[in-house]
Amino acid sequence: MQVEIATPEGVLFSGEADSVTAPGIIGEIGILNDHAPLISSLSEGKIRVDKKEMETKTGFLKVSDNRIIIITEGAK
Amino acid sequence: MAGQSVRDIKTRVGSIKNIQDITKTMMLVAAAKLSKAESAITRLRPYARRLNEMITDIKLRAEISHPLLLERKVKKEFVLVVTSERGLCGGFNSKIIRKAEDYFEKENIERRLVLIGKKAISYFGKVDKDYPIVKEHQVPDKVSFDFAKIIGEELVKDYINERFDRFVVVYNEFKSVFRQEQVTEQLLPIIPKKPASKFTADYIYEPSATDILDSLLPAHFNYQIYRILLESAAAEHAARMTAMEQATTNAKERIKELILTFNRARQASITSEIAEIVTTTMAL
Repeated sequence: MQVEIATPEGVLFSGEADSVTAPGIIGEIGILNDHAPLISSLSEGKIRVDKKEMETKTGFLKVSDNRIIIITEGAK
Repeated sequence: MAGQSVRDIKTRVGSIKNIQDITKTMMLVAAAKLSKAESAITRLRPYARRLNEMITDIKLRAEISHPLLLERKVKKEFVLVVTSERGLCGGFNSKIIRKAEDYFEKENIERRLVLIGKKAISYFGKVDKDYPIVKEHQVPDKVSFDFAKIIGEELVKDYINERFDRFVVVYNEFKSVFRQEQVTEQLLPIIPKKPASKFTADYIYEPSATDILDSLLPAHFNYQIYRILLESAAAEHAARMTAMEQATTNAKERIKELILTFNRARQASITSEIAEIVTTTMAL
């Protein structure tokens, strides 16, 4: 999957990954290949891309056609 | 220039050289700050694009009305004027203040000002000005998203509480190093962009389309404020750079002229000294 994590102050991550977990506002979201199209709000917390972990502020996540786009107000 | 002593001219050349050093340094500092501001604008772009995409995605699939999108009858408006903290940047501040005044003249309604930058605060803070100021901010040395967010969140709250019905920003847009454009832009209510007609499968929303839009739109507003602050900062540094470059060139010209008069004066004094010596020897 293609993953991009963007903040107002720059792109945090951009590249290929096999799994992503993100702190959805109503519970953690885990995304693997071929996930259904989804748009969700994110609360503050940890985003994990494969084994890489990032502490981020609130944001949004969108999945469609094996592309994951996360926008967040910034890294913590 | 005639009759000036050689020493006087020398001191003047010295002081102009000092000024030239200062303007040159200011120019270099402005250039460095400009490139930083420009790169901040570039770094913001991916976020902006994704944010807009998401808003369009949701609006395309769900007919949702939101207070930030709703046009109300305009009885009162808030105007944000963005200037700089410091001067010596050409027409940067005076042009934007004039632009704001022009805008005020077009329509006579109740108006409140939100000011950013010392120059706007000292101009619009004068007693004879027509519009009350609701908020003043200084321009921080480094504009951060958090700073923009503080301004943005308060305004969104006030807008939703109907303390004003329209929000307009007057600021310098950074077009290029040699061109800053003064623009007036309406930020609230948000004017939605025409969505592209590309329609893929529907999304699952967590929690719901309305809830997501509820936080996406304020995020969009904060982003706009941040973008405007960055644009204005880049424009300021560009204006200062050009102004200081001009000042440095002027100083150089002036020094050239003075050195010419200096040489002339020196030659004149030598000539008269020789003449004196010659006449004295002849008298002997």
